[in-house]
Amino acid sequence: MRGERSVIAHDWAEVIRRAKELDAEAFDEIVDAYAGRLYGFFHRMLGRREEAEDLVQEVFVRVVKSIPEYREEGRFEAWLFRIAGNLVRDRLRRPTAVDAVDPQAGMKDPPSEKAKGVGDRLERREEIDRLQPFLAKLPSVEREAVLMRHYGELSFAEIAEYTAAPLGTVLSRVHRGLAKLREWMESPR
Amino acid sequence: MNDAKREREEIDRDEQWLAGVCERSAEIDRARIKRAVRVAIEEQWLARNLSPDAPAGLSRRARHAVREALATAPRAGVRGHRRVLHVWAWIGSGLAAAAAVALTVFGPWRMGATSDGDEASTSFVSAFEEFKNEDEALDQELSHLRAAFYEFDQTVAKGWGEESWEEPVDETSDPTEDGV
Repeated sequence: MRGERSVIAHDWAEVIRRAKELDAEAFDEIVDAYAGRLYGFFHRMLGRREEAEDLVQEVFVRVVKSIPEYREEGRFEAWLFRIAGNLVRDRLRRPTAVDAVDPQAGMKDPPSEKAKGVGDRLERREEIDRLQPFLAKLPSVEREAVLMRHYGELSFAEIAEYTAAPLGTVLSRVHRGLAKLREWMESPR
Repeated sequence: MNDAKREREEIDRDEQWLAGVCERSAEIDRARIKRAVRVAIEEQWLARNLSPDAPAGLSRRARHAVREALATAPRAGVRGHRRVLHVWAWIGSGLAAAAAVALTVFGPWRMGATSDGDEASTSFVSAFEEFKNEDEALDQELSHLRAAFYEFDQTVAKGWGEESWEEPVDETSDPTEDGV
């Protein structure tokens, strides 16, 4: 992720300026920088890869449409993940959607070719797959706060602002969510 | 140590733990997203240039031309030059009609008499929905279309700067006293 961000770290303001002029290459840079993190966020929130891909695409389409409204006083990635958060909330509010993610989603996904045959990667993959059902057990507000911190690197204040929750509430959600995840993951299988 | 400080320290510790067990970025087909972004850029460009500030008649006519042009060619399965000609035939007729509409509505629009916000803000997405699997082709067509609209835009802008849109008087066609 750090590497992704460095792709555009050279002149972020310039990229945004070009994006506001609908420069396609500027948007390519934005996609390169954030698509992977957004995908991780959606996948862990919903547990469904295909739906996560669609939502990543939808975020960037919305960015194209609303980039004129972006004011540079806020961090771009906070703005970007706020769009992502609103999308995922809409998705969770749909009657067909369930609050919890598909607990088996991570396990059903076959390891990528690169992961096959590479011991440490496979081990890490297993850890990630183990995490998914536990994420699914968290209330969506806790899951969202934890993942906004992890993938979006939002500050507590930024999460509080966009969720319209008091700062203390956000801190408690992250604290409780992480503590539960760790406890479940570290308990004997 | 007070509770708030301890809470922050525990969060820091657990976030470091999470970073060790959960990836922070995942592989995704970026090319697909970039194609979708290209289409969105073109849509946005068209939206900026033809609505909501553009005359309602003009934007409506232009939307229709775009929709027809994009809907007809791929459905017919035409490829290569035939397909391009087909698309451009629609676009050409659309632009010609749009120019005519611009001449008609230009005066009232300049006076603020014409504003069809809902209609004008209609997304172009609806015209493209059936081409989800032809993003690349659609992107190319939209690029051509963008260039065409740019030229059209320039032409209209040039005209708007003139004093009058009245047709020049053709002295040679003045009616004679006997009306012939």
